Amino acid sequence: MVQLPNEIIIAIGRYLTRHSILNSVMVCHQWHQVLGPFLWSFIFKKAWHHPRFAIKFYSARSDSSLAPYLHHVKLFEWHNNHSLISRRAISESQARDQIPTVRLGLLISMMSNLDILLLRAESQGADSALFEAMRGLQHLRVLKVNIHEGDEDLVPIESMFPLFSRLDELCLEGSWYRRENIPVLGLNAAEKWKMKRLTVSPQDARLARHCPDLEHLRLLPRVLSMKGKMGALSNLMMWELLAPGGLKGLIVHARLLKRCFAFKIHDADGVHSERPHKVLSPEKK
Amino acid sequence: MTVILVSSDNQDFKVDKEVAERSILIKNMLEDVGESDSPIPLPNVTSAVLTKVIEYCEHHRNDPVQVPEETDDPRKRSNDIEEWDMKFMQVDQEMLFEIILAANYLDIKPLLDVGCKTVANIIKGKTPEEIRKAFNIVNDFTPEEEAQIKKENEWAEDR
Repeated sequence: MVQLPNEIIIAIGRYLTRHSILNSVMVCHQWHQVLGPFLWSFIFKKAWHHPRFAIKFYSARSDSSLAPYLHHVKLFEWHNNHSLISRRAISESQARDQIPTVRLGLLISMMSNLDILLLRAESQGADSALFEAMRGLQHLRVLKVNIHEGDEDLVPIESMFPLFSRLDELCLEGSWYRRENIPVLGLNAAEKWKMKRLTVSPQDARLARHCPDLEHLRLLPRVLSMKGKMGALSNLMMWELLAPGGLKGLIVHARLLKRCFAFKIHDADGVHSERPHKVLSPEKK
Repeated sequence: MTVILVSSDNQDFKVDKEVAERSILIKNMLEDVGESDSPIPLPNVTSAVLTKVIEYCEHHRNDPVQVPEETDDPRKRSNDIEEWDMKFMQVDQEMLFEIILAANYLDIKPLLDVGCKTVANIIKGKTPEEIRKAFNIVNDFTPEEEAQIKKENEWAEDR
């Protein structure tokens, strides 16, 4: 029998599905040792609710021993309301569902190959460590972040721009950032991003000015309850955004639609649509 | 122009330089020594395996040189093997591993990839016991260890 060296088993591991990896680590000690880290490629939110989720076995102090595993994480999903807390020390029972922001930041900073980051949380007290860790992710392609913070210690949005410029897709929600430095309507942004998909609140639709290659834009419904001024502004913004661009799809709340006189509505077949949203194609009357 | 490759069991293989240079190891060797007729010894490759490897390189002699992938796709696919390569890889499991090892040693990236994909396809859908059987691997776990690992990995079982 030919014994395969570890490097070959790793090369094979790259082609294995999650299910195959789970079976392969049970084959023998060598395969377990070499292929085990591949199980960490995708950390979905369900993992956090599992009582045996590996990260829960470790305390913040021993997180460095997780580094070889975290290095393999491609997708990381944290999706748990009221679960990010600023206190550093938490009891074991809390550790099941809660994690201090500092520690989450540390864990993320060790995921050097992270591709997709999905983060949703109610936070009690901001911690710059978390956003610092996000800024350091060199291979990130998709970022969806929805964090609700207090009014203090908001992150200046422009400090995230170097990260945004590397992304293919961004979904920006929550109240964790200050938006003063988003380019003003009618002005082109100095910095160009390669982003293809963007989801933001209508107030931040101006971010699309950074994205000449934008294909899909989704405006969040949340802020639309603000009447009057906001609606008029949205009309203007959409007109400006769509007139020159190569946008293939726009998703907005139906209420915004009424004011949106410049666009013809098409059937949403085959296009991602969610009620009460409507999908528009940027075709003028 | 041809070069002579010598297998571990001392058989000579006369191949076109272009074919031999599908192997980055050989390509670099030839560049280092410059114009020379001296045979290239390959002490890690038997004649049976070298025959197969040369067959592969002959078939792929005109392929464009693969550029190393900058961004590793997280979900690399194992089902995009060309038909010819698929047939080429229909060998016994011992030979399959030998080809993979030779491709690794000779630095023939496309052949290594096809080999790894083939192994991944064999693993697909098999239980640990079936995998061991397919690759003739001895189970060196105690039943306790086996249970422990199963427990540890429960969190990753479904998404």
